Amino acid sequence: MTTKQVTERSLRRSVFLFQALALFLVIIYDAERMTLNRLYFALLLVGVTYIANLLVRKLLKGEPYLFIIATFLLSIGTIMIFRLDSTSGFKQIIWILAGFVMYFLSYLAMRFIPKLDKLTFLYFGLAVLLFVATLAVGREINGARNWIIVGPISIQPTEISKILLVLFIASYYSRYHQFEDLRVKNFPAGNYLLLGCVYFLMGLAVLQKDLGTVLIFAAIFLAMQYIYEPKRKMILFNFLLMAGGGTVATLLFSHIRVRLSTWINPWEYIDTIGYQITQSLFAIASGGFLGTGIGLGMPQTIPLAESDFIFAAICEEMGILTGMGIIMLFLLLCYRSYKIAFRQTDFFSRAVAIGLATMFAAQSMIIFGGVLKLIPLTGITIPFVSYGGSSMLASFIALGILQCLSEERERA
Amino acid sequence: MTEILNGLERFFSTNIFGTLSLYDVISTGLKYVFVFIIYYFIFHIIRLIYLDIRAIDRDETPSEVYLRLITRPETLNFKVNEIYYLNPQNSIGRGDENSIVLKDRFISKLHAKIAEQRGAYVLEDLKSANGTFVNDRRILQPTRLNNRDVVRLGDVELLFVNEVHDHDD
Amino acid sequence: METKRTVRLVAAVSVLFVLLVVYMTYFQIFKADKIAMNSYNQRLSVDENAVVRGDIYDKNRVLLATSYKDEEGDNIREYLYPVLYAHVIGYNHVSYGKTGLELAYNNALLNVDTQKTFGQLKNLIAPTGKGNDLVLTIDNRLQERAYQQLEGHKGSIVLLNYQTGEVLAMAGRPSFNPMTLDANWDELLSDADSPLINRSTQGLYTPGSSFKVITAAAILENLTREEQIYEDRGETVIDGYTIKNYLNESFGEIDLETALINSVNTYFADKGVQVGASALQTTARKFMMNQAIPFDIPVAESISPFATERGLTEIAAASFGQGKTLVTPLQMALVIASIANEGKMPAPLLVDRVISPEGEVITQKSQSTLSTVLPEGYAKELKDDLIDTVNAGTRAMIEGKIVGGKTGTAETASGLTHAWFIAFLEEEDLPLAVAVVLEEDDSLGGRTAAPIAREMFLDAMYLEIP
Repeated sequence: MTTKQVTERSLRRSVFLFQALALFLVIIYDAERMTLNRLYFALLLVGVTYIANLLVRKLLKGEPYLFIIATFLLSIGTIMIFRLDSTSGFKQIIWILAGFVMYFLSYLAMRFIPKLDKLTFLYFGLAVLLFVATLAVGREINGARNWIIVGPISIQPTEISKILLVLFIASYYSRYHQFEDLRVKNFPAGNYLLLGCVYFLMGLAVLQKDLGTVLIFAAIFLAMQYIYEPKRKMILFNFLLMAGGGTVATLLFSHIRVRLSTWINPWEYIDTIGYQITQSLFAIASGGFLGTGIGLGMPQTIPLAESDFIFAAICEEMGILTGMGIIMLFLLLCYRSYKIAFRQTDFFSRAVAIGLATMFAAQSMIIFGGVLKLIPLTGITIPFVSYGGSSMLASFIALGILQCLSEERERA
Repeated sequence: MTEILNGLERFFSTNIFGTLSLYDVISTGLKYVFVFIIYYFIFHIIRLIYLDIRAIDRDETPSEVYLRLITRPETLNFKVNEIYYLNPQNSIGRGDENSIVLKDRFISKLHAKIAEQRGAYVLEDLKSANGTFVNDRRILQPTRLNNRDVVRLGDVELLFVNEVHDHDD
Repeated sequence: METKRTVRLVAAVSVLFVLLVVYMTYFQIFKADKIAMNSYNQRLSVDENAVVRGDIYDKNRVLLATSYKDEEGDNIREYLYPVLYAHVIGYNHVSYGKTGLELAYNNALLNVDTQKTFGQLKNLIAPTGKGNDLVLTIDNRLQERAYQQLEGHKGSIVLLNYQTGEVLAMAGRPSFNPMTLDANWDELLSDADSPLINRSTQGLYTPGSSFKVITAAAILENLTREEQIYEDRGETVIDGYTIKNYLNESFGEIDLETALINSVNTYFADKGVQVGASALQTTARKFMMNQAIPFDIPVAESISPFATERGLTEIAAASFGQGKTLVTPLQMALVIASIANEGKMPAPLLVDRVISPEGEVITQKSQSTLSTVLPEGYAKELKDDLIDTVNAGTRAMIEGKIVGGKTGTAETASGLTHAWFIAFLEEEDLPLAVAVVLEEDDSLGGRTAAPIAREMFLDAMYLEIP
């Protein structure tokens, strides 16, 4: 047995051990409100993640680390969500199980659906559709109009649109020569076609007041443009446009200005708009390096602790070291995803890998920065860790795509 | 079941050490364990990545000794390389663990191996189903390979090149 | 090409992640404690009823604050001299939060140290149920005298040892009773005189001529002897702004010492402009203006306009302590202390030590120098000038004792002047510095504030010297 195999097994076992111990703790903590269902599902989580990791290892050939890193991340997240509110924890586990299914499905889709790199405007169209649908029938929650409620389930379609954006840009650049010479009455439209489409999507996101998604779109676009755009001047143009657009938006929209002042000095508004971020800072500052211990802190004082501020709750009860550990796990996740781009012979595969890796990187950094008051808060989730069905599903879809891309395979 | 849970709750709420309950003690103790597990995990992932990189490095360092593909790649329905550089230890077969992977139906999972012994490269058939051939003769025991020998397994023919030690035996 | 760019992108992303990790370590080590110490942080109140809050004593072990459990098992906090220490000790109230030392030392008083590993382990092994006690540097008798001296005025007195930095008295009026907050809260909040504010550390006042001490320091360091000579004509005009001396007096040819003794505004205005804003700001910063002064309770930063103002009229006005300059009484006490201490500003101390319920010293605060404001030579010279100032006739002179100081009468927007007096007593066992400010008193510093300072020195000598 090689060292590699031994180490992979110990990885799986450490996740398993972590889950088992932490769940044990949380179940006792909340024992009086623990229903049988929730208990079973908690046990189910432990069993299913173990088996899922086993399956991935045995059946799938490519990148072996992505799935288990994601598993550890979601373990930490779910434990804390369960501790905060076992109903949410229960729902989160259901979403995780659904996520596993989506992971395998998207892997298969990526592998067997032919000509995925040609569907450029299908991706664009779907993204627009999702945005329009949300704007039309969506509800505004917490200042952002990006939820659609279908019965008992609320979805955030923008989570999927991030992936669609990556696919759109990747396939555009793989067919670049088809578009670059487009002219509309002597105007070199080809140059601006991609820019126009992406800005259109960003504009829709701004209309939804979903600033975090706008930032992620911008990051993905800038990164992919930097690597792939042959006309280097377009990158500068794009950058200036973003800076300009950002300034204009700040001047136009009061809710952006509010977020900026809350970021600069939340202590002044500690009773009102600053309440969230200050409570988050108190929590992070009160945990010390090792945390107070699960169940021994007071993360319930943080508003929206399960979703946007789960990181603060984790830092309080499990310590700054755990918080740093999560950041490092994301670094590893993104690093492995970028690595896929280096090994692929196929252009589309490389571009999608880079896009998705940047998506994970941007999203996680924006929310870590916001919770730590390094940048203003933007109300987006930490992939795999935060509570949120759409976020979990989208993250697993991205992971499934990456997994498929990591295998050395000729594109049909 | 609820009784068990309630009983557990009561048990863990009992105060040992003054105002601290058993739960408090366990949670405090476990937090060290959790941080340890997390960093153990991260350490091992990094270690695995490092091992991966080292393996790739080694794979990609060209050596003077290699197998060159003779059969035309278009005639084969699986992925092949033009050149396989040889390490001190090489294994050939259908399985992914091999250093040279040939997904041919007629090649066994673990078909043959080539090992370096004191400067010479020795080919050994590992009880494969369809045999290993050198210069069209099936080998039944470990056979030393000479420069320009033709090695065949399944549908694949490879030329063994070793310009460094080029002498007849 | 694509590979190279991808490598750069990956490198950039990795660096950003690493920076995040580094920031978190920085946050935990340097910022966490201060952030957690906020009355909006509900975690501070958690252990309230489990532990009996620690006691607070003055330097002679006179009990100032204590807690006990009543019949229902609730913790009751008792202040033995409520009005005297309302600002210094503050209060610990379930609805109105925590202030003063009750807030700053909350964890010590409750013996709660959730972050430190050993603290938690200690709690596991031997929980005591009682918090730690504080021993302050304040002498209760002097605190009482200071509070009495302020009767009939609004303002503050800060008395400290200029060698050790120990604060012997810190009193402010108007004050309030922290034990009757429930009954008086609304009244206290809406009182136009803001009794809840600790004037000694949070009150920002125009210093008036007392600021000339700082300007004098800048003049000593930046101008030659010849340049320090000035021809005074009773008034001077800078950029259209006319500056006159008190009672329009004109002094002819004067040097720095004479200017200080007679508090000549024109001298400081012109010389201040000559020294220039940037040199003045350098000196002001050495005196800890525009900077956070580390202290056991929060201190407002004094505002020196030399940092931002470039207009000559503004510089001139600030040079004799008017304009946009604002200082706290503690700040001015430290200013005079640094001159008395031959150029070294001592770090102010309010809490001397923290002791466990069993009497063991857990933390002993040590003395240190905050800043060197002047080289020793100049400091001694300035010190002598200030002694001459007092001897020349302000009412702070004490027969047979060495006292130096400076008056101030600050013009304010309300039209009512603040009366200032900052002084030091050079006495072997009792090196004292004091700052007295009578807020909107409409009196002259030399006439009202100086005698109060003198009384404080006399009381201290009476009480402290064996």
